[in-house]
Amino acid sequence: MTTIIPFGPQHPVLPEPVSLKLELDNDVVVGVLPSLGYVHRGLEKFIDTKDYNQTTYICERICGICSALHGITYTKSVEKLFNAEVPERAEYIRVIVGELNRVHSHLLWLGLFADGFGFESLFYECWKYRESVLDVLERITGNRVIHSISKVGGVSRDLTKEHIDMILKMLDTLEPQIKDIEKVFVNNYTVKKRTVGLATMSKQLAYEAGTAGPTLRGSGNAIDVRETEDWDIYRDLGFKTVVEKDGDCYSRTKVRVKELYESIKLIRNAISKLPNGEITTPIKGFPTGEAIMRTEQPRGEVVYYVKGNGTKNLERLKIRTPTFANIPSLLLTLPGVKLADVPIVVLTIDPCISCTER
Amino acid sequence: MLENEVEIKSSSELVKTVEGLKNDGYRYSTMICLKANDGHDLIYIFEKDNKLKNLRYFVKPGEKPKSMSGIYLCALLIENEYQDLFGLTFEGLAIDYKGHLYLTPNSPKSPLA
Amino acid sequence: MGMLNLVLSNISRKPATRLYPFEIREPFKEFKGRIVFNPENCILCGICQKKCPPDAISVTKADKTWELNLFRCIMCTECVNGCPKGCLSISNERPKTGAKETVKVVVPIVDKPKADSPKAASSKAASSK
Repeated sequence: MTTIIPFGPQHPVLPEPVSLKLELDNDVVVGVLPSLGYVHRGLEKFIDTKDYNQTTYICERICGICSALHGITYTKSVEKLFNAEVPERAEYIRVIVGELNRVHSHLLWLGLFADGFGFESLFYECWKYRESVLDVLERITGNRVIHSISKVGGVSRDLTKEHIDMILKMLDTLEPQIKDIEKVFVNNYTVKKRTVGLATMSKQLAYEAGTAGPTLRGSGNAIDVRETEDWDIYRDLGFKTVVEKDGDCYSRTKVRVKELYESIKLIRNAISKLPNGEITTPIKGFPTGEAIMRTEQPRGEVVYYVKGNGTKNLERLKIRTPTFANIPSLLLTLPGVKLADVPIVVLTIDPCISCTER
Repeated sequence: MLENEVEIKSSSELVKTVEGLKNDGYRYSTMICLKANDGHDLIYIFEKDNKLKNLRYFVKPGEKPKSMSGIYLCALLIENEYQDLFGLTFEGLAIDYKGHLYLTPNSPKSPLA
Repeated sequence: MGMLNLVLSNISRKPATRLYPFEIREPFKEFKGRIVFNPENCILCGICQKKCPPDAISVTKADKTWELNLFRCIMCTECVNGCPKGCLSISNERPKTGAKETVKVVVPIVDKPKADSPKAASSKAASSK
């Protein structure tokens, strides 16, 4: 005899609406049926009315948290259609803004996760530290949430000496602060009780379920798009993939905490190697052909497919966002989990529903 | 034409190729649907060792393509999405939302097609 | 022990938040606050209207007006970068909530001899909202 319990669309741990129909046997989940569609906006169709430069701003509005990387990925995919060579300085600025974006996204997630298991003061700490990153982003790009840094052919704003000093100073204070909260997430007895051994996904299972990002790397698969030649600047910056092998909620949390350090290292390296020169290259004409571009967002790998037909509008734009790839893994991990732990498991894939439905 | 792209002619060949890719250790990345010559082009994207492999398959008008969710479970979400947005019907879906993943009964039918 | 340190430091430290309506942080000088339009050099070419992603700007040649819908504007500053005459600029002043929906500015065009003498179409206080 099983009971059906609706989880969502409105739930305290979910910032965005997604509904899971949980089939329960006593208080253990035996079946899950996700249902989406609460925030579908039809953005892939909307690009029909905008030209390829304006589409950048649509792509940035897919998601508020990883908006910089959406914009960067879109512009890079269109540059692939033009076979355009972007100035090196612009590429470095994109990396810096993208990684700052990842730092603030991971701090946001760590806070939400702490909130998910009821550790309110840890939630406040994480978001307090995140604020300094947002201030820096606001000063670099002029906007606090939707940064609009990347445009087709380069970046829209340059980094000044003052900005660079400010970033480095912020990173120097942020790093010990992250060490503080890392201690709680990694060593705290109560937190470990809630996360260790929960919703374990084996290496094989995570790979075959097509998961992406920290969900994939938390299960021991060393797959990160930043290593590939799609965006080869990361190789010069000494990027190392973060992997944890256990595959439970605890190791997914650890992956994200360690990625914070990795991002800080990347930003420092990028700033030390920042070349001088132009920040944009002029791009003329209309795009033709097809291209696929992948980058690593805070939540995982995002795939952009663009098709141009020689007019100012793109013919097709398809975005596979990381949460879209991670939602099927809930079907595999949730059965066997107690109802009280469901919010934590759902949070560990870092659900971003606006991304998923576009 | 994309890099590393293979054109697939028939639906049975598609299933066989995808099964072969799974045995070779490929990861299902996504599928892209395009309007083409009255029908639809499906581009399946697989990934292994950071390399992409693309399969292109043309769906004739009125044809019901086979679902890949029996081979890769994660294919079910994207196939349901295209049932909504392009009005396709996939055969043998693991979970079939019957065109109501995003759309409600009152919304316009297949808005992207 | 770690907890005791945290408690003591949190007691002695000043709060991380601001008492908002009484204490307002100065906007950063790079902040994209709002668009400022200076009609003096405007030639009504309409490039800003074409470039605007959310269609917030409308330029009417017949009435010689330039209109910005503040509720639609997303502060992408495409128009600022695209303006050939440098009429548009960014101000770091925060826009006030509940302001008027549109800003309409009459453009005094002087470079057209055919049209009878520029009627000194006194530009209605341009930047104010």
